[in-house]
Amino acid sequence: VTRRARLVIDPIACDGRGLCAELLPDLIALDDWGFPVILAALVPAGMEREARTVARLCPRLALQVERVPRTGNHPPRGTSFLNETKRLGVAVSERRRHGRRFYPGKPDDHRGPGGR
Amino acid sequence: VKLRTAAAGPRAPVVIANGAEGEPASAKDKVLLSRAPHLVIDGAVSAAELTGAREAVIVAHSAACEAVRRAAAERAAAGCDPVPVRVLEAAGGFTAGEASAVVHWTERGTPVPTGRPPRLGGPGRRPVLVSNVETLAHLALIIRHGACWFRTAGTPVEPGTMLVTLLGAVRHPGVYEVEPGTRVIDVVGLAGGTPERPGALLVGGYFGTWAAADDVLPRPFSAAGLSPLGARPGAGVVAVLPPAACGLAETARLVRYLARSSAGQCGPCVLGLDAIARELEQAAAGSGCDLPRLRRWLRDVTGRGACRHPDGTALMVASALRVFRTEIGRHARGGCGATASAGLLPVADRTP
Repeated sequence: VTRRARLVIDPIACDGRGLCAELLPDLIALDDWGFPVILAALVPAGMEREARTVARLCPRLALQVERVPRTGNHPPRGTSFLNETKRLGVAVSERRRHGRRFYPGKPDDHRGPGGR
Repeated sequence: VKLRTAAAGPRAPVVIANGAEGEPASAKDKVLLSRAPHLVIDGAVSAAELTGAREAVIVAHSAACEAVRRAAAERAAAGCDPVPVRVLEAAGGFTAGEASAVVHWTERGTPVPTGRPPRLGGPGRRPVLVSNVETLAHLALIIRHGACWFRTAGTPVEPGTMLVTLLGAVRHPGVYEVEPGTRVIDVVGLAGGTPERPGALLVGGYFGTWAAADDVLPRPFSAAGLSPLGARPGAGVVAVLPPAACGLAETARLVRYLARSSAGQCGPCVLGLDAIARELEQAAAGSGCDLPRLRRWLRDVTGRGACRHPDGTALMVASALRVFRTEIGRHARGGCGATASAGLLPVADRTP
C-alpha cells in the first residue's frame, strides 16, 4: 500500500523566496504578498519525487514533503512540520526505500516542470 | 484530556498556568490572580501532582504579578506545596499570551508562538501542560468540593461558571462571574445594563464576533447558545458598541492594533493583516473599499501562520463585514452614521 504525501510549509521559516511556486506551479501558488499557498491537499503520485527535490532546494528549508498518516487520522494543524523526530524518521525511511543518499542522485531526477 | 496526556508522557512534565492575558480588552485573569492567587496556585499544584510534574509555573500579567509573588512567598514559608512554584512575569503584547508563546517565554525567554503543540515538549524539551489560570482555579474548586458541586452551575454541557469582562457602553464595566446559558442581556445587566439601546456587540474578544444587538441579546451566553451567530464566549469579553459609535471605524482601529501585534514571524500574517487593516482604514475614511478583494484576503491569511493570530483576526473582520454592511455602504457614499468618535475598545496594554 503506497501512502500519499502532502506538502507542508513552516510559516515561521518561510520568507517568501517563491522558488517552490516557480518550480511546482501545479501544486503551489503565491498569494498577493509573495508567500506560498498550497493548492493540492495531496501530492499526485507521479510528482512526489519532484516535490522532494524542490523541498530540498528551498533556501529556507521551509518546505517539506510529508507522509499522510495511514489511519487518515490527521494530526492537529501545525503539529507535523516542527516535529523533528518524526521528520527525520520519514526522511530516513524514505532514503532507505529508494536505497540512496540525501542528495537527489542521477541528474534525470532534477527534471522539473520546465526542465529537460 | 490535557491532564491525561501530560501524565502519560515518559518525562516529568511542567505545569504552566497561563495568566499572561495579552488581550487588552480582557481583565478576568488579572482580577482572578489579584483577588484569588492562592486558588490559582492550588489548581496549578494539584495539576502538577496529578501529572507527576516537578514544577508549577504561574505566568502572570505584570499588573497581577505582585499579588501572586506574595501568595507564592507565603506558601513557600508555610512549606505546604509538594512541588516548587515559580512565578514569572508575563511578557507584554497580544501574541505573548498564546499558549506556545507562553511556553517559549517560560523555557527560553522568547515570547513568540512556535506553532508546536506544547504537550509534546516545549523548547526546553519538557512536556508542558499549559492551562489558563481560570481553568486551574476551577480545578482547585472541583478538587475541594467535588464534580457534583461544580455541575450545579451552568449547563450540562458547559458546567461551572465563567468570568466575563464587560466593557464599552455599560454602566459599570468590569469582570463578572456568570453561568453559561445566562442570556446575554442578563449578562450585560450585571454591569448595570446599557444606558441607551446598543448598536452592536463584540462577543468573545478581539478574535470574537460582532453581532447586532437584536440578534445577540436574547441568546444564551454559552458555546451552544452563541454558535448560531457564529460566535463563541471565547475569552469571555463582551464589548457593547454605543449607538453613536461607528462599528467600521472601531473595527479598523482594532485590526490595525492586531496587525501591529503580530509576532512578526510569518509573512502572510505580517503583510496580510497590514493590508486588511489598510483596506478597512480606507473604507472608514470614506475612500472606498474593494470588498471582494478584502474577502479574498481574509481567506488567504486563514491557516497561514504558526499560531491562530491571522485566523482569529480574519474571523472578527468577516463578522464586521456582515454586521456593518449598511455602515460600509454609507461610508462608500461619503457619509457615516456615527456621531461620536471611535475609541471604545482599548488597543494598548492597560492595568485594571
